[in-house]
Amino acid sequence: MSKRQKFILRRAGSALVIAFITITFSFVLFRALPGDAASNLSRVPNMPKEAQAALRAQFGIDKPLTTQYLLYLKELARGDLGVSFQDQQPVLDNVLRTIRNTVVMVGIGTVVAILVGTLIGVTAAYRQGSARDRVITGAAMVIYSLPVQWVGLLLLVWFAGWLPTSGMSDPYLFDAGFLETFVDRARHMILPATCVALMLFGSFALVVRSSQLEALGDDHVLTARAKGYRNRRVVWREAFRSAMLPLVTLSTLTLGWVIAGTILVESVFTWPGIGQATVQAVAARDYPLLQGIFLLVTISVVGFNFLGDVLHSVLDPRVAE
Amino acid sequence: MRLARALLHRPTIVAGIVIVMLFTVVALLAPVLEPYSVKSASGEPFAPPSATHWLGTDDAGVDMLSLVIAGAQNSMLVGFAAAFVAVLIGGTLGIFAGYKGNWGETTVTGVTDFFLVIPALPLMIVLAALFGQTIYHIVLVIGLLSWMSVTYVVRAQVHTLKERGFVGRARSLGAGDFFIVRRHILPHVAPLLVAQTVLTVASAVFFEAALAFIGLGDPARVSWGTIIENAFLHSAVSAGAWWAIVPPGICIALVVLGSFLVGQGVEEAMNPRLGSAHVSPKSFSLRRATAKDEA
Amino acid sequence: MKSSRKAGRRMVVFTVLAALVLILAATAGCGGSSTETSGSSDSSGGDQPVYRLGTVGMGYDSLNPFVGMYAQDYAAWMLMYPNLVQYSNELQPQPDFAESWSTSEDGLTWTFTLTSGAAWTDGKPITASDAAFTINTVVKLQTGAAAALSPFVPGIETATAVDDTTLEVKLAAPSAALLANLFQLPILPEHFWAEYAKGDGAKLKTVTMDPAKETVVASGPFTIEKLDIKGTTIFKRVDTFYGPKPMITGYGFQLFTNADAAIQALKAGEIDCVYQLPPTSSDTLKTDANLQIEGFGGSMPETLLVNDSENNKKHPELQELGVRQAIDLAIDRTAMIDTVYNGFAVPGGSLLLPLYVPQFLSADVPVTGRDVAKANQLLDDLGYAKGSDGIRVADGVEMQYTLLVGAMNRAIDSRIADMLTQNLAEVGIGVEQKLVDNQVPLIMTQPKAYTDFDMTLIMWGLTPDPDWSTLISTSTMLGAYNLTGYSNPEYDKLWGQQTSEMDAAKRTAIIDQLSAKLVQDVVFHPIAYTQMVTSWNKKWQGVPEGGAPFGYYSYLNKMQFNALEVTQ
Repeated sequence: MSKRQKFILRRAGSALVIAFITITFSFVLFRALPGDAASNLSRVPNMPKEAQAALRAQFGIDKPLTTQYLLYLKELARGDLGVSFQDQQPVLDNVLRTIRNTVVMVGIGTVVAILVGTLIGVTAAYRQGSARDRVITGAAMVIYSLPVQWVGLLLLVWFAGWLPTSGMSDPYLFDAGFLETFVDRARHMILPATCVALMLFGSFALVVRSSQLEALGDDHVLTARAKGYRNRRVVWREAFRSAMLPLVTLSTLTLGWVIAGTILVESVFTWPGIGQATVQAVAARDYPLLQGIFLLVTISVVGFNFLGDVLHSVLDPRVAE
Repeated sequence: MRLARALLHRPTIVAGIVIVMLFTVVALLAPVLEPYSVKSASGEPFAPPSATHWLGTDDAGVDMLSLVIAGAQNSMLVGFAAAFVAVLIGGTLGIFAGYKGNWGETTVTGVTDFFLVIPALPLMIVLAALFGQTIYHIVLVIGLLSWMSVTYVVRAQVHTLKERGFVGRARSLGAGDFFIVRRHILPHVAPLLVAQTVLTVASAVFFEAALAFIGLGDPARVSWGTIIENAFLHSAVSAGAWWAIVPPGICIALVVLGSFLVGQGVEEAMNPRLGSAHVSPKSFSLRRATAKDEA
Repeated sequence: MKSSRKAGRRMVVFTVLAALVLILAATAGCGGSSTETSGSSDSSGGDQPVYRLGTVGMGYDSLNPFVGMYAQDYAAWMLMYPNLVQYSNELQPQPDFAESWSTSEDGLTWTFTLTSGAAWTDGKPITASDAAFTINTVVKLQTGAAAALSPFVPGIETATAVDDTTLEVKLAAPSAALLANLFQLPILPEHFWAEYAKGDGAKLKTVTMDPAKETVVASGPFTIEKLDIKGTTIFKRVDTFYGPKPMITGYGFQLFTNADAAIQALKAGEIDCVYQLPPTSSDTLKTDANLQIEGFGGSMPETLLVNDSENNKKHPELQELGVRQAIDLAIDRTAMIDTVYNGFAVPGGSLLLPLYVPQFLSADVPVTGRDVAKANQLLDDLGYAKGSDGIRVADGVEMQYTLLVGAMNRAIDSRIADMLTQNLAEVGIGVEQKLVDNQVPLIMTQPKAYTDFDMTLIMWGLTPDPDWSTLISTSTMLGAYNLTGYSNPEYDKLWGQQTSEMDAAKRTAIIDQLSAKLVQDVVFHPIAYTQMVTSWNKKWQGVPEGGAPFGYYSYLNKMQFNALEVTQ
């Protein structure tokens, strides 16, 4: 077994352990919360006490905790995350439906952020300390410092009328051809994806800039320069190759985090994604749904971290040693 | 005080210090500075900025300038208190892990790794709902979920300190662990702790605003987050009342920016090669490539 | 030089490709456009476009009648399923699927004569056995799978289909409010639901109501065309509907997470009407020449509740009538309506609506006027002197109270709470606000009922009959909807009398007495009857201006969209 394989196995092991801790943690967390299905459903006028008891039995919350935990693990193993208090549909369906919407929007925003961030970071590092560097880095940092919900609100009001400000598509677009549907979806995507990109590109720019600076001082880059290669070639070919490492780490980490971080963007643009589902589940005390969201998001972060480690070990064999 | 002098030579750090100090002073003097009460109307709803109300009024006719000042008080309180909690936990664990090594380090790394993968904002939302929404709970919730990057940075620093050899010398002279930590480790880590505190202030202010926006702020207190939330709930932007939402947003941005400049500057001054590791004062508290840490 | 450009270009290409793939995935994932068009029905002439409705904050929770519990769900079902009766905007019962009804001498048997020739959307006839099936299923499973619908069948023992158009309903005791309860019960197609209702009926809740997944069988005037609860749900007109048909070919119901987005969509012409807008947004909307703005309803009382239960050990002084009277006198209702509601509310005197006069109540319950001097006098008389901090001390306890504010309605409630805090400070009562993350009843149904709160704000959604408005103060509702902990055997007895009193005049007299008791004991502190701020594009005519007591898009009747048409 090579060192890299060993390393990957070790990381996989620790990812599994963390996943199991997460599963247990989320069980404890959501059982500790006050209120349950029945008490929430008491918003029904006249609901008899027996009906509340029946609901508790339906959701299994009348059983002792250990029984509940074993049941929970068993059902989880079958891919069953339970049933949402609110719409009584499987939690897994709810989460997958919303997470898909989020991934599309955030994916585009993140890709744009990586692209813009990299270009800006490399350009800034190329002439460290120059006026251009200062302006670019300064602007990136200022935009990055703005609260995202605030930026979103301003975007919403500025672009209202020009671009759709809520939802994923025009719900009243009947019998549209493929192209028309496509254009409609793309237009709805612009504002929220821009908001995500604005939220993220600053951190990418700064990371790329500083790792680029570090790399520009490395021996092989200096050698390349000494050999008389042209500056831009050196920057992109040699230096950027080493700057890729932290970028990959940050990207994989970010992808996991961003799913959680879009809560604010989705609230502003009424995007039917995982963030909006979270807020609504909190308001309705829909614990099974919250637990499902929490579990899936956490495990996806674990997954992305693991992926990042693997990528990292491929790009830089030293890490496995 | 070579470090201090090095810091003051960097204009960005000075700018950061000035910004953070300014808001801290405003926060401390808030009750004196507020021109009107934030509990009652002093003008027409959504009145534009004027000589009597420099920043206009909000949906209930409350003076915006007073709100922003009162907001500074609570936002900065949450920021500093949460940062203190985070640095206390993170610093202790970091020093422990870095100094002890072996099983101590493995345990701390494991726990930190676990907390790192938990999506902070969703968990904060759940916890804030569970604890109840008072400012103290918000401080605790944010603090308890913001210490992880501190641990990693401090641990790395303690590692380099140990490598320098004087720890070993001190031990060979018969010094106890506690003594070594207090006399040799802590003084060297202290500037880093300060930097981390300031960095965490930024993320705490940001998180407070995020929680408030979702309706989980402390209803009894005005913060920048609750001002934005309030403007949002009463559709201030559609009403054209930009003054009800722009000032708190700018204040948050300034504090985040200022803290970021200070925190990053101090770290860079202490250890130029550490620069890129924890770039993010927001949710992406980034450790330097995990794999490298373990290797 | 070249290679750097190439690298840059490669990244651009990569990004664009990635973006395209993601959007394509989204386009494909949603199954493209719907197969059936709303506007393609054959009916001639008067076809009007789809009416696009938007709401802020709270949409449907489920359109499955055994699951959904929000008022919006009821409104959707009212437009999808037959109901025995419906209510006019003046709260008079009117025929819907039942053409007429009669009561036996002893009041225990009700006979409904139903519309003949009606059909479900799948062509099967709608008969009395559908109605009997629905009622019997709910009665049988009322403590289980059908709990959500149980409030609408109280006291019913059984329902029988005598023939296709005759339904007999048997009660355990006479009920004056039977129609008022029954009218919200959607009659469901037996041939669709029967297999789900077998056994304990657990399967009833698995029905998704999504036409993309399974058939939705309804009667009309509308049925679901596209279900997207967190986004836009679209309903299409049913041309086989048995009653008067609307002109619009369908309507859409779009959920916005914030008012700004909804307002911008309305202004941009993406939607036709928004309701549940923040009152503060009305001034801007009024300046838009294309938009009409109106406050609908005025039947949802925003109320301050004071926990005067014996279980509130910390503040036994709240059981003193004088304290509650003083609190009531201190409230500045006019100022609250001016500032917080921007005029979209009227002062409220009770949970018994002005709308109930004269049908159920002989006169309006008077609104308490503000009188700070009298309030202070009352508290002085009780011997509760002010401490050094200006807060009174009642038998050694500071009159400092926790006021719960629900997150759901916090935009309004937190403002009301601010003003209340000031009002009460003037009479030496301290208030500390505490935000709770959901509706207040939760706190009360906990085992520690009535122990850990002093005051709360709640906005009641009331029914067209005062039966429920008066029920909530009885002792049977303790630990549930009786949020103040009021318990009075005499009141309970009177309530029992009104619910079984079949003579309208006599019932009114009893309800008058109940009302007097509530006022005399200051059980509630109503603040205002709030209106639903609604704005729509002026090209639409036939929006029920000023009517609709339960707001526009209500669950009162099937006629609400019938007059809607576009006139340019």
